This record gives sequence, structure tokens and C-alpha cells, in this order.
Amino acid sequence: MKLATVSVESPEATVGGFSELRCRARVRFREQGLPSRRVEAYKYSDLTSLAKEEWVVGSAASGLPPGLPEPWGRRLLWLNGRLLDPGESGDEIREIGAIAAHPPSGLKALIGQLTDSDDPLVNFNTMQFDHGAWIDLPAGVRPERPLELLFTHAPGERPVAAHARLALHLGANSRLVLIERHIGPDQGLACLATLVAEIDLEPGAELIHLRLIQMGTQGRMLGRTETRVGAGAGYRAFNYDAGTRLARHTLRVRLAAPGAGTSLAGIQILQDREQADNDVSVIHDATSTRSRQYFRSVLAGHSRGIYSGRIKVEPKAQKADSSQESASLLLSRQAEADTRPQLEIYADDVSCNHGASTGAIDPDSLFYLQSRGIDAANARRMIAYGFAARVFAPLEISVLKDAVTRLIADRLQAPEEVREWL
Amino acid sequence: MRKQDNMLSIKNLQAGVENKTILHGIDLEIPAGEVHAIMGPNGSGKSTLAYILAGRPGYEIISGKVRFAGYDLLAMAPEERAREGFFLALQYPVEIPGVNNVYLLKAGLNAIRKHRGEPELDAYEFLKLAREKLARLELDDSFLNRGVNEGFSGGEKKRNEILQALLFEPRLALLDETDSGLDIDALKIVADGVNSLRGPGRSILLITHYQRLLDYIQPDIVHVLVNGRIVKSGDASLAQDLEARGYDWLREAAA
Repeated sequence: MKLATVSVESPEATVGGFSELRCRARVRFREQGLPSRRVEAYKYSDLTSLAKEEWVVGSAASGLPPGLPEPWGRRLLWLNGRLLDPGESGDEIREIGAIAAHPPSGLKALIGQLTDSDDPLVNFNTMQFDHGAWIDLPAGVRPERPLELLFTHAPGERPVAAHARLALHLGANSRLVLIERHIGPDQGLACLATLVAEIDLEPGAELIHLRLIQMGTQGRMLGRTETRVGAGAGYRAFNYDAGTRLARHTLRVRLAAPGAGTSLAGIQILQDREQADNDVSVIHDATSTRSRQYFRSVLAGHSRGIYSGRIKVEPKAQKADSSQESASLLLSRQAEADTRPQLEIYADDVSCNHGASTGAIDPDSLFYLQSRGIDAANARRMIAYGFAARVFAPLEISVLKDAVTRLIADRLQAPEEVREWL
Repeated sequence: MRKQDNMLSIKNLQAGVENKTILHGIDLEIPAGEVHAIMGPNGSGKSTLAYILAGRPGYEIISGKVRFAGYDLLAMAPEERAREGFFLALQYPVEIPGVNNVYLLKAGLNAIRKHRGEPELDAYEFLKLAREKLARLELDDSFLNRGVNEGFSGGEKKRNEILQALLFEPRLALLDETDSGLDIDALKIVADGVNSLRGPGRSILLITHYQRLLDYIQPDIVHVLVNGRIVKSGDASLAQDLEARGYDWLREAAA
């Protein structure tokens, strides 16, 4: 795969402040190309086929896309990479497209620092990103309202691509609830979104990160989130993947200082030929760090759900406490779940648990509901809903939990008796 | 169904699992309005009989007929049996994490009501009714919003089964070892609930190991099941005989 076959409009004009970074990425990407399945990390998600489409970056669709969901907080809204609604973006939140020509020093110091240039996706994104957000919360700032970054996509005459960047710096003891949501249409031409996020949490900071991928039957979302967690800080992520041709996400969290913690959860709800691929790594790089991974999938049709969960405990990370749990519910014989747990433990005094399961609907549960008068189809939907909704049970912000739970219920066509209580 | 008809009529039921015959020809008739009890030692086939009547998959029916309220019970799907008024309180109620009790209760009740030609209850009407039944079983309202049987104590699971029976108002309630794992206070509460179901149009079949439950729910007839056959039937005093003498004398008689 050669770069020349990917249609890339030069973004230098608008984002000149990163020319050196982009130049390095371009050189590196020229060597790498888009990853094929021979690249271990992309074993299940070959990206070379992306070169088949002629992607247009930043096509000029006008107006708001129909069926836009209600805001879940203070919202910034993009369409095909163009900022449509800046919301109430203030000093702490800046649109990257607007400041890229003269990036602030904090942004310059962070961008490109945490990501891995061995990942071709990162270089692909670095070369091209032209929008996104730079969020810099000063120490102790804890806004009550969530911040929602809504990226919408609507191809017109030609397939569209949008390449976004997120950089977050949370000062000591600050706290933010961030919603990152990608929505594409369920019909029409293909759309492609890439997003690379770099997140730096200072001591005692807390980030709750909801990431929802609903890119549509022709949509592809390629993401990477790289988080460094400082002393006593916490990163909590909730991922929702549904209704997307291909959703690929690399999530890597480094617990960089004593007392750092993370809890990563995700649900994939897939049907037809959809595929979601979550490649998750937690690196324990300091003493007394704690991590939790909890990933589930509900797979119908010919869909495929992939979860690679890696825990690495560095030699100095004594008293690390980690666990990993994954479970897949197969609703059809053609659906496939691939689970790859990987544990690399180089310290002696650690606690590390993992478990993985894959199976169809439990016949005893099905019989139990049927024996209460509920028909088999509704009983199956009820069980699948219960299985999926649990992923969001630990989310204590009830408004958001309820909203995502409703998405899950709709997606799984949960019976009326379930929805009316949500 | 005519008044004099049996609610349940089992004729020569032979059944088992994976080429192993467990029921060797059961004959049993329960008239409408009566309370019967089946007692028997472990492995006699009590739970197999209960599951087969409720329609749990995995059993092989070798021969026999079961009529329930005039229907061919074995030809019906489990949900059809429930809607016609057959209710099984399971010995081991199933935990279904993430599915709230209220979803099951309301979906089940409305499916049954719809089948009976009664109007479905809305959320308000349902909660009003459910709270009344919860109070009778001395259960807290929060019970509705917990996952089905998830993290319930043994006693809570059994009470949840009886809660369903009270809501669904079945024509035949089959209680499979509902007394096991209950302390004496919980047993009284459950027995009161079951007794409140007694009435001319409703039959109750109690499956139990011990006579204890029958002190609180007086049966009209007691049957003894040994090795997949009913070897003796009698009035309530038979349960006391069994308590005093054990099952061995009947095993010998059956052999």
C-alpha cells in the first residue's frame, strides 16, 4: 500500500503549527503504509482496503444532519470535520482547527508525545488532522456539566473522511466528564473517521471518558486513545460500539505514578457484517497501581467482535492490582468472537486476575422467562439487553447511564417492558 | 373446562434424559380446587416430573399423555403453558443478571392477561398490584429493581417464585421444593402466600421432601413417588407416616 493511492488533501495551510510533526509522520507512514493483517496489532482488522475508496476530506455538506441527538452536556459539534457549533468553548476548550496555525505551548508540548509512531494509524492521522479539541483544565477545576464532542459524518457525492485530534491535559485534582461520540448515516456512501487522543492526567485528576461509535453501515472509525495517569489520578472509560461497518480502537493506558488507577469498560453490539476491534493495554509502571478491564459483546448476524486485552506489569510496579474480564454473547451461529488476553508480569508482588467466556444464550435463563409467559423472541432480547447493560452499571452519572442504557435497549430491540422503566 | 373435570391428568407418563428413563409410568389426577402433594426420596423423579410439565427442553417423552385444563400440555411451548395458567415455582430459580425483576414480572403478567382477554396493566397499575403482593410476602419494594434472582438469598429466591404465583394467579401452581432452604419464619410467610391462592378454580401441587411444609399447607391428597412411579396415595396422614417411617418400606413395596 502506497500513500499515493490514498487521497489526501494537504492540510498544511490550516495547521502549519505542526509542520515538523506532520513531516515526520509523513516520512514514517510512507515506510509503513496502511496496516495489513500481517501487522500483529491489526491481525483482525486489515486496513489496506481503505485505499480502494477515493476519500474526500472536509466535503461541504450544509446544514445540520437530520436526527441529531439531544446534547448530553456542553457540546461542540462537527460535520465532516468542520466545526458547526462551537458550543460555549472557552479558555479551557479550544477547537484545534482554529488554533493549529499558532498552537499554545501546552498543546505543542503534549501532541505527538504520548502516541506511538510505530502505529501507522497515528501517522496517518498526524499527517492529516485538521480539527478536534485541545482541553486544558487548570488544577482543581471540576466542571459539573459533561463536555460532549460530537463528530457527525454525512457523505454527499463522494465518500468522506475526517481526521480529528484530541489533546487533554487535566491539572492536579481537576475532573472532567468527556463524551466523545461519532455518528454516521445508515445509508449512502462510505465515511471514514480517524481520531487520535492524547490524555495527560496530573496527580489526583479524574477523567470519565464515554466513547460512542455509531458510524453507520458504511462507516469506519479508526481510533487510538493514549492516556498517562499520574499519581493518585484516575482514568475511567466506557466504550460503546454499535452499528458501524468497522470500529477499530487502540486504547492504551499507562499508570505512570504510585496510586494511579484505571477502569476500562466496553460493549460491542454488532449485527450483519459489522466488526469492532478493541485493542486494550494497561501498563502498570509504578507501585500500588490498580486497573480493571470489563469488556462484553453481543454479536448477531455475521458480525465479529474482537477484544485483545493486555496487562503489563513493569518490574518496579510492586503491589499492582489488575483484573480483566471479557464475555461474548453469540446470537447467531455465524457470529464470531475473538478474545486475546495477554498478561506480562515482571514484578512479584502483584494481583492479576483474568477471565474470558463466549457462549450462546443460557437455555435455563430462556426457559425461566418462557415459563413466565414471555415468548422466546422477547425473552432472548431481554437476556441480551441485561447482559449488555451491565457494562454501564458502574457509571454513577445517572443521566448519562440512562441515556446509554436507552441506546442499548433500542439497539437490541429490548421489549417494551424493559424500555418503559428506562 | 367442565367443573367436574380434572385440572391435571397424567396417564402412563414415561420419560427421561439421554436414553435414561427416569419416569416409569406416572398416573396422576388432580381435580380443580384440590391441593395435592408429591413426596419422595432423592432421585425418585420429582423434579424431572416438574420440569417436563413446565416444558423445559432436554427431556425425552417416551410415552404417555398429559392433559391440563383440557389441553394437550406436552404439545405446548413453555410460554403457552404459562399463559393458560400453568405455573412452576422452581426448586432452583435461575439468576438472570441485568434483567430487572420488574421486567420479568410485568412482561409475564401482561402476556398472561392478554391471553386471558384481560386489559394489560400500565406501569402505575402494575406497581400498585405488585406492591400489594410484595407486602403480603414481607418483601421490600426495592425487590422489583434488582436483577432477577441476582444475589438473592435462598429464601428471597423462593419468595420471588411465590410473588410470581400471586401476580399471575395460575390455575395450577406446581411448587417444587419451595420449602427447602427456608427458615421457619420464611416458611410461614410462603405458606400463607400459597394458602391465599387456594380456591375452587385453582389446583396446587406441592413437591416436597419433608412433611414440614404440609403442616402449613394442608393437602387433600398425598402421593408417594419412588423410582419414577407413584407407589402410594392417601390423605394427609400419609405424610405423617412417611415422616415417622421413612421411605424404605415403600421402596420395598415398589421393588
